[in-house]
This record gives sequence, C-alpha cells and structure tokens, in this order.
Amino acid sequence: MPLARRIPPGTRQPGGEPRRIRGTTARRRLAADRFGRWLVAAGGVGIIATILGILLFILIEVWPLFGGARVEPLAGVRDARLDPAALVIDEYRTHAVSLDRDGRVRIVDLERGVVDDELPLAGDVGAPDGPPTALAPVSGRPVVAGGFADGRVVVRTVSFAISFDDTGRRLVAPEVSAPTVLAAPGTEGRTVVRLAVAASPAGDELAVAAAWADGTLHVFHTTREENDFTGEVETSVEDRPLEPLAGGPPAALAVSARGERVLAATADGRLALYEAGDPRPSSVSGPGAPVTALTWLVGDRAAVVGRKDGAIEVWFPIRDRGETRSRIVFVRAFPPRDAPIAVLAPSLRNKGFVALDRGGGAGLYHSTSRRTLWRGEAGEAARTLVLAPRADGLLVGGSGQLALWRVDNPHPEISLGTLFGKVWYEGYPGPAWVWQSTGGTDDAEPKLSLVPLLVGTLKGTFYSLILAIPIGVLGAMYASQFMHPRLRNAVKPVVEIMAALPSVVLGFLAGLWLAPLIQRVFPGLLLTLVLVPLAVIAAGAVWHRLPARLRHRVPDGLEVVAFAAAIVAAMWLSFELSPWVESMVFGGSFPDWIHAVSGIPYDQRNAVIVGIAMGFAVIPIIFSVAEDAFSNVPRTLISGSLALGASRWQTVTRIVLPTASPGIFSAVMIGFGRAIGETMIVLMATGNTPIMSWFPFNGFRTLSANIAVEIPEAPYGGTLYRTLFFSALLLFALTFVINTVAEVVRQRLRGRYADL
Amino acid sequence: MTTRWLTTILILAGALVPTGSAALAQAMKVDADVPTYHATRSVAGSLNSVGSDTMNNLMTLWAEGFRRVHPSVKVQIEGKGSSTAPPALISGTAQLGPMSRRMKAAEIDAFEKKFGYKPLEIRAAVDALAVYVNKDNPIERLTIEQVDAIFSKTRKCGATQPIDRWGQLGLTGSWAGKPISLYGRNSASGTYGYFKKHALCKGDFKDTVKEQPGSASVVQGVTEDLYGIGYSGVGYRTSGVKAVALSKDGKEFHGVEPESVYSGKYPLARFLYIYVNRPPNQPLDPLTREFLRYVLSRAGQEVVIKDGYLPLHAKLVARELAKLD
Repeated sequence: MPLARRIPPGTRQPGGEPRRIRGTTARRRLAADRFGRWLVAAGGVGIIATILGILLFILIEVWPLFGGARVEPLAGVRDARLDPAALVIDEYRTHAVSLDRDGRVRIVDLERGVVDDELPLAGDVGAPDGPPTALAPVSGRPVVAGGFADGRVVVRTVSFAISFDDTGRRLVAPEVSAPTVLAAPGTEGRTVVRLAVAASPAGDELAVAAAWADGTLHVFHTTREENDFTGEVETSVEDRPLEPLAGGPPAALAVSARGERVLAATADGRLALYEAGDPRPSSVSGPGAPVTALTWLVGDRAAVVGRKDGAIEVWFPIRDRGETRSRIVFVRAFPPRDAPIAVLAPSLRNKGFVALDRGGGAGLYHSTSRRTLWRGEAGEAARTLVLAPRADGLLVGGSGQLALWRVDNPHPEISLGTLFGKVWYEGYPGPAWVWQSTGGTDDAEPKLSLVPLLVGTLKGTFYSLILAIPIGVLGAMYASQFMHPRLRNAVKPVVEIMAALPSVVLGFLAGLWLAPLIQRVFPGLLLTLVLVPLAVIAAGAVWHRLPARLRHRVPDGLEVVAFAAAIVAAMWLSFELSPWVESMVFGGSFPDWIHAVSGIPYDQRNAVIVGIAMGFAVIPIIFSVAEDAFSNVPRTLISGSLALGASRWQTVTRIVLPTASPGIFSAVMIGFGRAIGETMIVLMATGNTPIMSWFPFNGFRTLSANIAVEIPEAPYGGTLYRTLFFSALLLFALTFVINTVAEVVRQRLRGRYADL
Repeated sequence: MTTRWLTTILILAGALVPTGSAALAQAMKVDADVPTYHATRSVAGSLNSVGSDTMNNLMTLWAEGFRRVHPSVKVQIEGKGSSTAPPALISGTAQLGPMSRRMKAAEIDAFEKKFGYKPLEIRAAVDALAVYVNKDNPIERLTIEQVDAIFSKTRKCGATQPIDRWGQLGLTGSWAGKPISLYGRNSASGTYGYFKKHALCKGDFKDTVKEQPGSASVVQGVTEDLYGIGYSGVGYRTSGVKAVALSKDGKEFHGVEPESVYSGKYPLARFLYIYVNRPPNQPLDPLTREFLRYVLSRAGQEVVIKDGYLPLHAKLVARELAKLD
C-alpha cells in the first residue's frame, strides 16, 4: 500500500512503559490490541513467506537446467571374440549387436553379459574371400554395413521385437535382417575402403555412401514406402555416382538418411559436400588437420568433424538467398582433446553427440548449447561407442569387451548462451535470437532464446504506457483539481469499474473487432490527435465569449459537460474524414503507405491495438492511484497558494503536482507492473509473433503470454517446462527490481516534499 | 481455463458461419463394409479426453452419439492441442488422448517410463490440412515449395527466395504489392507440427506467423484479413475462406477433394489418432473399448463426415478394430 501513511513502530507514551489502565474493559481492549498486532504481524510475515515460497519453488524448478550430465557404469560383457567396429543397442539397453572386425555380427545380451549368437555379415550371399575391407562406423541407427575386397557392400538392419510374458515382463528379441547386397557398376573387383551408413527413424529409408580404392564414390538410397490409404508397398534402390575427390579416396565419409547429402573428407582435411541432383561437390572447405571421424547430427542438417589434432568442430550446409546449392560452413568448435578423435556418434534425441579419442578419453557434447556435458575415461582398449536410442545409455566397445554406462542428461540444450546470446541454429544464415520451442518431429532443434520475449514484453509495456500515463495522470489531475465534486464522485467509480473488466474480454474485443476496425480507420485515429485538442481550445474560446450571466449559471467544474459535446463532434468528424485523409495523405491505403515508408509490413494485430486495449486495463489503475495522490495534497497548501495570488493553474502545476509527485510516481509504477505482467490481452490481441522489432504496426510475444501459450504442452520436468519457469523467474525479477527502484525513488521524493 | 472459454467462443463464432464443408458431407459416404455399432455390454462411468483442438468438435460429436446408446456415460472433452494429450494420459487425467499427429518418440518415452509399455495408437479419421486464403483472394493454387517460401524462414523445401508479397505468387493489379499476412497455430498443436514437417520440410516458421490458439481462430483471422493466409484442418473450413489446391512437384495440383486425399495425391493428408493406455496382455478398459468401437463404426464414421473430415476405409477400420481385442 504505497499511499498508506506509515506510523512509526513502537510509538510510546512519553515516560517509558504504556500506562496501565485499571478495569476489565481496558484489559479486554489491551488483549484485543495484542491480538490485533499479532494478527497483522502474522499476516505480513505470511505474505512475505508465501512470496519467498513461490520464489523458492520457481528456483527449485529452474535449478536442474544448468546441471551437467551424470554418466555411471551399468553393466559389462567380456568375450574374447568381440572386437567391435560398430555397435547397435536397443532402446531398453538390454541387447547389443556388435559388428566385429572379423566380419561377423554378434548379438550380445547385456543383462546376462553373454554373446547369444553370431553370424557372418555377408551371410549366404556368396561369401567373398576374407574379412571385410571396410566397416561403416556407428550411425546410432539399427543398421550395420561392411564392404569387401570384391567391391560389394553388404547391409543388414537390426530390429528388436518387443513382447510381454504373462507376468507383464518385457521381452526383447533382437533380429538381424537378411543381407542386402549393393553393387555399383564398374566397381567389381575393387576393394571397398570407406563406408558410411544412415537410416531414417522409421527404418523405411536407408542410405549408404561407399568409396573404393581407386577413389570411386557412390551413394545408395533404398526406400520402402507404404501408402497408408491404398496399402501399396513400394521399394526402390537408387544408386548415384559422385565425382571422385582430388587426392584419392576420402579419409572419412558421412551420409544423410535420405542420401541427399554426403560429406567426404579429403586427405588434407578439406570437407566436400555433395547434394542430390549433382555428382560434383557443391562446396569444398579450406584445408585443415586430417579428419579422423565424421558424422551427421540427428536431422542430417549439421555435421560434427573430429580431427587428428583432437579438434571437434560443427559444420553446417548453408543455402544462401537465391542459391540452389549449399556451402559447407564452419559454425563452432569445442575444446580440443589431447589425442586424435577416433569416433563420433550422434544422439537420436537431441543435437548432442559423444566423442572417443585414441587415448581412451570420452566426452558428451551438445551442439546448439556448445556445452561439454561430461568428460571421462573409457579405457585404453576402447575402440568405438554408441549412444542408446533414448540417449540414456552409452555403450563402449573395445577388443574383448563391451561396457554399458547409464547416462542422465536431462537438459543439454540449455546454457546462458542459448537463453540470452545469439545462437547459430541449423539452416540459419547466421547467429540469431530465436524463440521456436517445438517442432512436430524428434529431430527438431529447440530454439529457446528469451531475448525476443523480453523485447516483446518491454514493447507491449511501452506502447500501453505511452497511452495510459498521459491519460491516466492528466485525467486524475483534472478530476481532482478542476472537476465539480458531484461529477467527480460519479466519474471515479466509473473509471474504477473499467479496471474490473476481465482482460480476456478486452483481448477478445481487441483482436477480433478493434484490430480490423483500426486497420480501416487509422488515419482517423491520427486525426483525432489533432482535431480533439483543437475542438477543446475552440470550445474554451467560445465559452469565454459567452455572456457572463449564462456562464455563471453553470457551476464551476461542470463546463466539461458542454466541452464533451465538442470532443465527441471532433471525433466523429475525424472518423468521417478518415477515408479522405487516407486517400489524400497516405495514397489510398495507410497499411500500404506505412509498409512503403518503413519497409515493414503492417500487421493487423499490432502493438498499437495492444496499447489501446491494455490502456483500458492500465488507465483505471493509474487514474485511481494518481487521483488519491492529488486529493491528499493538504488543502492548506492550495489555499495558501491561491491566497498569495497564484492562479489555479499555477497552483496545480507548481504546488500540487510536485507535492503529489511521489504518489503519481507510484501510480505510474503500479501501472507499469500491471502492463508488464498482463497476459490475456497480449495473448489474444497480438499474433504472439516472437520478433525483435520496436515498430508500432507489428506484433510481439511477451514472456507472460508465452508461458500461457506453451505451459500446457510442456512435459512436466522437461527442458521447455523448466525454461518457462525460468522466464517466470525473469518476470518475477523484473517486477521485483522495478518495484524496488520505484519504492526507493518514491521515498526520496517524499523526503524532499515532506516539509511542505 | 480462460483459453478454454475462449476456444468455446471461437467455436461458437465458427459455428454461426455456414460451413462450406456441408457440400463435402453430401458427396461422401461411409464404406459399406464398415460395421454398424452394437453395444456388446452396457457401460457406465465417465470418460475424459484431453488433446487435439483439431479434433475438439469431432470428439464432442462422437461423445454425443455414444451417449445416445449409453446415456449413463459422462464424457468430458478438453482440446488445447495435441501436445497436451501425452501428459494427460501419463498422469491418468484422461483415458482418451486425441492427437492430430503421431506421438513423438520423446512423448512415448515419457509414457513408457511411467507404465513400462507403449501407448496404443488408434487411427480414427482422415484429415486434410488445408491452406486457406480469404474468399476474395484470386489465388487458386500453390506448390509446397511456395507454401514453404511463404511460411518459412529456412526454406528447406528448396525455394531460393522468400515470398512476402502476393505479387510474387503471380497476382497482379492492386494485389501485387500487398504484403502476405500469416496466420498459424500455436506450437502445442499437432497441426503446427505436421505443417512444419510436411509443408516446411522440417524447417522453421517465420517469426511473423501470428499464432492462434485454435483452428477456428485461424480461419477467423483469414476471414477478417483480406491479405491473410493460414492453415488448419479441413473440418474448420467456412464460407469466408478458400482452400487452395496444392502440389508437391509443381505439375499436378490437387484440391482437398476426397479422391485426391485417399489416393495420397493431396500433399497434406494425415490421420487423426486417439491414443489410449492399454497394458499388454490385458483387455482394454470396457468403457474406453466401447467408445473406440463406436468411433470405428458406421455411425462413428458418419460423424466424421458430418464434421467435415474424411472417414476411414473398411480395411483400415478392420485393422484398427483388431487392435482393440
């Protein structure tokens, strides 16, 4: 209660202890007094405790966002036959399939710690001589591939059949498909030297990139498509030759699940990007340290590159405006490791990946947030590793052993950098502040920058206050100092009732009725800014010239009723003239004119609409509190000023206004607090567009509206859920700081004018 | 709860406008082989449904029809977006989770973490996502590449230039210089996710897309805004808007007619799903089972047509019914 007069605590009678009064009434009164004091204190402490409790709750919800990942050993398997080049693990982390360097596929039961079964990769398709000459590194997907000295490539997919026994226990049965042989014309008898494999999440698409000893490059793409409506199944294999790289076969390969993007590393560390529809690389990067590991992240829009000097880098294919082909661009680097990078394996749940170096060091990283979430030792013997499909496990394979680690990595995508800094997201031309929290797919990259929301919050507040402050404060000044008391007694409650209008109704009207209306008559609205003051001045002049006899019949302060007619007439005229002004000044259409002048399109649901609608919610608050402040200026001051010969206007501007300034300041600040936290009006009257622009004729998205829009879809305890809580904390902090500053300023002002 | 109230208002507002889908409804008939509904047992109790806004009217109509057979059953329906269905199924506040897109792997994970098995997915109807423009807009057809260039800032479908004026789509005269005003759904919506995946090739929306809390308010927005364009399920089509014909390859254009949807030629056709919680090797809760049997019956599929969506084929109905046993 900013306006309540504060009574110094512990006011005592002079002479120490309060005087004891005899009699039962007095004692009862003392008891009631004590009870009252206790009740007020308890209420006050209760409120503070509740607010602190809310703050604590928000902090508890937000805290885990900034924690790292925990990785701990879970199970291990020892078997001398194992020597994995690639691994596949099921989503329940019960079974693994190991593609070993001897060319055999081994099925491992991780729970019992034994090798269940083994079979040759090539199967019975006419076994080529000797072990495979190239094995595809881990892709994260359930598919393995090997290439042989006779030029053939063999692919097998792995599936895990799930069933439940009578007790409800889940049974996982790994199945390895029959081998698919891929052969490209002209490669018979040439040794396959490098392979990469990828598959789509549903397993209906599969791509293999292969390189032969003479440098020949091919990409195979197989699809199996079932039309849901007709039930037809179509399978197809597409073989696309790629132009060989200069300087021999690639040092590393990566292919996207649809085969439309292949990344190949040259011996001198350049990256060549091949895209669908063209056998030549669309872009080749500059040279660097030799590439030792290469993979696409989930979604196939970003590649991670591991180099011999231990560097780990993220590269994007970027398509510039007006271009049909992409360039491969360096985006960000992670702290380098001490040994050459051996393996990079993507997470299938987020833009994270794991890295293993030749010294046995492992690490868990996240591309978007640039965070190193965990670093650890996988052991000297470690040769490869893979993240479980749910990114909750890490399977490390070395010669003669497999080790399963549990991964607890709840919020890898959040850092202060992603919340407040510019981030370069996949497919974007450069770093940007973006809020776009979800996509319909698992490989969508959440974009959780709070900066557009903060800008939106301040924009909404700004446009509502530039309307509400002048009207609210000047209205209060007029009502308290000039208006007839009878009229004032009617006006004040009416204005206060305005504050009781539900904001959802205001928002609804603003969005569906006001927005199209303003689009039509905005020039008229501008015209009112000119015509209404003119009309008032004109009415004043006319009033002045009326015979005194007539004027004195109207009580002081009721002239306004006569003026109201002039104001209404001026407004009517403004809107009547609107089409005329629009065609004369704005060339026929104001939205087109403003678009042409500013280069920013006019949006029907814009900041001006919100300013007007939110003004409705904020004006009554500012008016009411400011009116109290004006009314509380001591009459003696005013009488003194008038008695000394000052006019009423001089008294109001030089005496009343400064004295009431602390209260007016509070009024503005309370209005500010209301505007900054307002949800429903902005939710409904703007398009909730998270843009970064202060232009008055487009929309915005505020922190509060964003919470309202997104909290129902945010899974409990998830990253979005906690990020929304973080934005609530931000809102809390924002209002807290503003209120504190306001209170300090108010006390200063009050101190200055206290002597009056 | 205010948003729910709002949705109700918007639905009412939408209902007042004569629906263009009535014409569609007359032309359509449910496959003769779809079984009629017989109550196998009488059921009572209450059913809660939380999820898709696209399916809000559909669920309400199904509930009405179901209650005509089983009057003692109470059905409560809340539709704020498909993404609200998985949390409701997990917490047990709903038995039915209508969704206009398939569950994402992360959502299935969360469900499985609680129950140990995956939710049961039932395909309940066919929807075609329509791209709407104002009824006075002369544009008739768009390619997916153009739709992507209009709505997306990443243009992953391949367009080289963003499209922000109607002139870039070949409109002439006073339309040529007018900026395109974009309307879309909020991110909780399955329609938002589906559109992002299939019409934007998994790209990102422009920041200037005005996010609306429901399908009806997207249509409302485009009705009021002469230069607007928006997307929502075909069931929300009104006389104030026009659905444009779409093409994947720029050669063959297909409108939202049933033939092109069923043949798979209309590029934005999808299923509408109902997710339920069914423990393995155990029968489905009788009330839920009866409701789903009703949905997958002749009467239930006629309701689908009435609401402006497309019914399932007999073959699909049989496949979905088999999942219930």
